[in-house]
Amino acid sequence: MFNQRLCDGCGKRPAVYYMKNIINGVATERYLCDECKKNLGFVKKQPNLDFGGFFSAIGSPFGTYGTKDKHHICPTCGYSSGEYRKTGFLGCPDCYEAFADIINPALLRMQKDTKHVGKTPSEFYSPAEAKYNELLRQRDDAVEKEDFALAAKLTEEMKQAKGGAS
Amino acid sequence: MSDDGIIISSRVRLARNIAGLPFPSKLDSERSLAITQKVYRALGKAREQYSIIRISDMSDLQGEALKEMHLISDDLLHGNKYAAAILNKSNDVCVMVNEEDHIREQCILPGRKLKDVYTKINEIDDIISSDNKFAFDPRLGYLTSCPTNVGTGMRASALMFLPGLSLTNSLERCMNAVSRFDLTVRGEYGEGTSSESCMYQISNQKSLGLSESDIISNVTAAVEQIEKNEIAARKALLSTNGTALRDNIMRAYGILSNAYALSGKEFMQRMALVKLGIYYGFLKCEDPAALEKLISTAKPANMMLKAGKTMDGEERDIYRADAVSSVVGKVVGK
Repeated sequence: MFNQRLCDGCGKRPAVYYMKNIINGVATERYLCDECKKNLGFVKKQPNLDFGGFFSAIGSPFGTYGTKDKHHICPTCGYSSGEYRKTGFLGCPDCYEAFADIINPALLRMQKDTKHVGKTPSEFYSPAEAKYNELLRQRDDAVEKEDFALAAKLTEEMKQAKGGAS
Repeated sequence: MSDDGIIISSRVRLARNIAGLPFPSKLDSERSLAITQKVYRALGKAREQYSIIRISDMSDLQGEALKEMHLISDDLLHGNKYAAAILNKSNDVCVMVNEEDHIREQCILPGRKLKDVYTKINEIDDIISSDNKFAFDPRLGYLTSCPTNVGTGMRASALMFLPGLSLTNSLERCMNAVSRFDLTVRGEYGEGTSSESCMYQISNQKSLGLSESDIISNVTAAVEQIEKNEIAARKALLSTNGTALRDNIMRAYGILSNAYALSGKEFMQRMALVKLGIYYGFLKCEDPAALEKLISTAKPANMMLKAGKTMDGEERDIYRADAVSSVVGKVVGK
């Protein structure tokens, strides 16, 4: 039914994974062997794997290489921006702030967004604040969809919720 | 839409990390082990009972068998030596600890149940977060070791059986048509994996800038669109080459019912045709869940675990043929 094909990464081993990414209607297909799949960052086994060769060939999704790029060290865990660029993985939560000027543009490319609008752990906001934020998000959506009646209704609800959220 | 067997299972995974700690690859043994204990203790508040399986305590065969059942990942099995899986009794919730992230909560249920799956895993997330402060940034959301998961930390996916689109070579066209949903489509080659079985995993690519319910809606909408296309492709397949198709299906049924030795690859190919035959009504199946279960129980590690011994390839093929023919003979008929 199907023919076994060789890995797009190494061209030697048989492909055992098929990946297809579709971004803005542009499809990118990859047929990969287990080893190259790991090297691409889809599987992380060893933190010190060298991804440089592959990413320099296909373009790193985690930030570009270049002599002009600043080199950062995370003050909390000591991880370097160079390690991040090679592996695509960070050392600790504080790396997001330490490498913000590398990560944020990469996020915009990968995620097409830089603002979280989903669930918030309860310790960060009071229930009233969380409710207000959710209403705000729903109102933004309504305005975007030009559903102004719903937006007006949500604005009223926000006014009521604001007392508890302030 | 009716239960047509196109959506095999629904799964949601949430990636979480403990605030103030390095990610697993940088974490020492003491704190890695402490995370497992804290998560396990928190799950004591859940309605169901959970048990811990530490990767270091697991035999190679047990680990592979859990992987074949999609309960744990390859990363968990071969990565951090302090990794553990915390599973509920019904084996539909698995919390992986010290994988790529400190905590990966996942729930998998058969069929079209993405909303139910999210509801269930969201409850588990609330329970774990009641005892553990997660790394979270109000702007970026849940902070994950790889920025591709930041935000909701969520991957919602459906495993789909798409023989119509595969056999009519229309998979790519269909996937392009649903590209507006920011999807990733994964298929796997090799023994007992997706290409032979015509199974594909459809999941969200974007985890930031969308709420959890938006992600569920997007994946659901995309899956339904693919399902419509699959149904259309199955109709086309039948109308253009009905006799040959039916002949292939019935031959596949004959082989699964009677073979003495069956490789994993051949099993998956024939099984895809038998399932297609059930869809068309050429074959009848009393217990579709038992047939679906065969797909994981006929994989090497699961067979060897059940047989209680290691087997070489030839022995496995004979064992598989016997296991398959007994189930197919029992639940499938003309």
